[in-house]
Amino acid sequence: MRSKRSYALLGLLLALSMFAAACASQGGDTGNNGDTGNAADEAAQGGTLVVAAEQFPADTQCYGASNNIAWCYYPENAVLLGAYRQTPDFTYEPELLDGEAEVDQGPPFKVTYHINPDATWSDGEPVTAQDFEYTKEAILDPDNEVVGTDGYDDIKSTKIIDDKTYEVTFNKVFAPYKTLFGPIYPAHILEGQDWDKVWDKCICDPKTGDPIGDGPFLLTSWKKNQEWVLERNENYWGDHLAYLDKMVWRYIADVNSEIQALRGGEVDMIYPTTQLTLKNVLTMEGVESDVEAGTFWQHLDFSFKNPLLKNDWVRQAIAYGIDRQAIVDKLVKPLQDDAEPLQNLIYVSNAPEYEPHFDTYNYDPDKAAQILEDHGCKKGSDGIYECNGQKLSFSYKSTAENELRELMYQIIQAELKDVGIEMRNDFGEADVVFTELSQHDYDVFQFGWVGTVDPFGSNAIFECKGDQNYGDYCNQEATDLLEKTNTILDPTERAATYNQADELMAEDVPVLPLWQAPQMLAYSDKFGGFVNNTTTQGPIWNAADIYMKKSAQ
Amino acid sequence: MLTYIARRILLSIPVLIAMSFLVFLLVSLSGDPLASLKMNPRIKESTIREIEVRKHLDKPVIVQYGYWVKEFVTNKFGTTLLSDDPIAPDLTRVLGNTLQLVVGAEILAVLLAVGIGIYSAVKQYSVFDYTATTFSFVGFSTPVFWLALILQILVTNLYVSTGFRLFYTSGLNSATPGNFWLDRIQHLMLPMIVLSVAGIAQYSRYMRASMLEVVHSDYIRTARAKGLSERRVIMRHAFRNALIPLTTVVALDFGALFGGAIVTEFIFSLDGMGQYFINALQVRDVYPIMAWLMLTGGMIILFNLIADVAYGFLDPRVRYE
Repeated sequence: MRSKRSYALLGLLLALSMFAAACASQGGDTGNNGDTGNAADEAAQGGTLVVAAEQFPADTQCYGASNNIAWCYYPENAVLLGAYRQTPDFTYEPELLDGEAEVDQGPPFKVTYHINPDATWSDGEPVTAQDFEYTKEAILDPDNEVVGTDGYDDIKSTKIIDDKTYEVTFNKVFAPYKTLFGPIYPAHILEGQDWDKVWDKCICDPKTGDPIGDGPFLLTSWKKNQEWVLERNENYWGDHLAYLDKMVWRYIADVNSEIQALRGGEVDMIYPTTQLTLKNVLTMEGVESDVEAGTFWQHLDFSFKNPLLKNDWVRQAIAYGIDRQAIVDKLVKPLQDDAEPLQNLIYVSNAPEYEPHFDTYNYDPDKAAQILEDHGCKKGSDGIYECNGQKLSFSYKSTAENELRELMYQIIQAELKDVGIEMRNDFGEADVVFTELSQHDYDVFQFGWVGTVDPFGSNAIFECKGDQNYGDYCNQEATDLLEKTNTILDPTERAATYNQADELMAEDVPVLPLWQAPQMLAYSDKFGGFVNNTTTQGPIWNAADIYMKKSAQ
Repeated sequence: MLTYIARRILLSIPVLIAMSFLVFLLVSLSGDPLASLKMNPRIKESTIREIEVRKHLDKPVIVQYGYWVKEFVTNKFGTTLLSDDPIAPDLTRVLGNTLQLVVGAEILAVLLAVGIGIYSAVKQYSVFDYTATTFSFVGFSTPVFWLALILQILVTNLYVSTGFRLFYTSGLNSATPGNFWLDRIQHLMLPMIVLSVAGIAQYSRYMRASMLEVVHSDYIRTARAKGLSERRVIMRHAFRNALIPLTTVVALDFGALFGGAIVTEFIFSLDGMGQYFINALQVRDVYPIMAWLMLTGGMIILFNLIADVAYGFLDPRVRYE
């Protein structure tokens, strides 16, 4: 009798094991900056590339409001093409278009898109102006929860001139028009469907379940928090079909696990968040790597609500008191040997328009102290200056448990203490400190912005009363220049205007740029064709050109 | 017995209700779940307003709780806050994955711990006993994240130096698995080992102590005096009785493990209950957090009950009133 009871317990455990298996099987089915080897000679037709994906979206509708993460767009960019794509040299080039869009300054301001005559969907239907119209309607539909409507809001009217020609008339000049019509959606598939829900676990025809796309790959399987499987689109209309048969994007959240997975051949490519441990990858056998300045740039944000920090001479003293070059040498150069401090608030150093206006703030602690003393500040017995009866002591906020930010704080805190400025550690959980940031509740905040090919997002950060101007900085002259950039179509003149605004801001120092996070692209040497594109286009922006080497097959 | 079980189940209902209310209150008050959306200037205000209305965020917390109870009971755990996706399919999926992991880890831990515990007791103060004791304390004090990373490095080193793939270091399956279940076991083995180390350390100590108590009892002496073989004395008479305390501990632990192993699942990129909970907590989505909590809490209560019942089942001296 006793033994039967023991077996019953063992049986219970085994039954739970089987239940577990059953549950699991029911779940969720659904410059030269890279390898420029001669693809024609060494590329094999076929092969599977396994990519480590650091984040996983909640569903496959990447433009959904609750789902706006880069790791959703990276694979999606190989499936759904846009009017333009961003290149590694920080320019836009036509993707679905047959040459540049035609622009008529007006008024009214008009942009005419000529769609490539060869562009077709994987089911054989042509990509048409109707698809552009559907995309615009979907994004502006108030029932759809989309990431944003910037630019689309300014559309006054649209006209389908013919199947391959689409004209958009704007209410006003909208210079960053190339940022519009990112992924184009197939109208013949999605018309009448619930945009929020239709692509929950696929990019497909909801009636048949067949994958759909106009890019070199199609999404053939998606398992939540596990993997995306992309297979070659045999009807791709581009220069050539993709070399690879398949790309599998496997979810690996931990960078150290990514490194081991690459070393052990479990994945073939990683595109990891910056960590000092990544320097081991640079010397890893059988692995090629390329590190470029990424678009994520660290900075110190000063709050003008603080009565001391609202003085430009205090901010300038802080800027002179921080050895940004030493920080870069210590924290960034181990990964990226050509790294330099960032010297512009509008353009990242990869952009051709970049001008180093903040390079006047070379480390000079004596000058920092002199500036303070020139304004009547006196050093207290604790070595910290007092100005107008107030101690130069500021809370320094950032996100906890971030090794690089902690190290940066330690360096900055020590350097400024030598000058006579105190920074008090006020690190906290990301959601807590960022809520405080949005409430403009801080003195000094260290965090990162993402630089983009078209810098029009900077306007919201630096214009007086801009939506993301958390420090409450206001220089009307700079604001006027920034607003003017929205209406300048000539790229050279527009860049010059942005740089004029940046020069003004370099005098004001509302924000002190520090450095751009290096972005590593590392891959097995069995593969080729990679070019590290640090824009938001992502690591497989040239998916069709990535290949397995013949020698590896 | 049935009356006892029914009474325990009835008593657990107010516990679950109180627990759910308290957690709902704490999570709701911990911050604005729409803060990240509100910080994003590209998100339309109408979108945010629509979510607020749909999920009753514009109402007092107590009213929100009422809506959650209704959703929970009538709509299979309800839907998520931001994307309005049904919770049940995701929860079923991650529960399945977690069960595979924890059931395997528990079986591994129990089998090894029982063996080690018995042998340590039978060979008390032997080299084996001292070694097992030492390793138990090492097992107790080894941080899970460290052990996980070290095992990943060791297994990768083995693969790099020999080309032999013993285990995988992340995920649940390979991109192109040959034999699905063999591949799954190769993926789950490292996290199972990590999870079972602390269990082996703990259970082997229980088993050793329990076994020592039993082997020194009168009826074991009687069995030996009757001339039974040592093997028969240990396995037939001592072992079963020594198992009783361990059964209780394992059952209690097992209930708690339904909540997932957060650190282990993160490092090995396993789509389990722990990861699910953390993801929901990071976006302050109270609905999946509540679903996770109700399931985990329910399982802990259930396995507490199973432990109590099993205790009486295995030990006839225990009577339920």
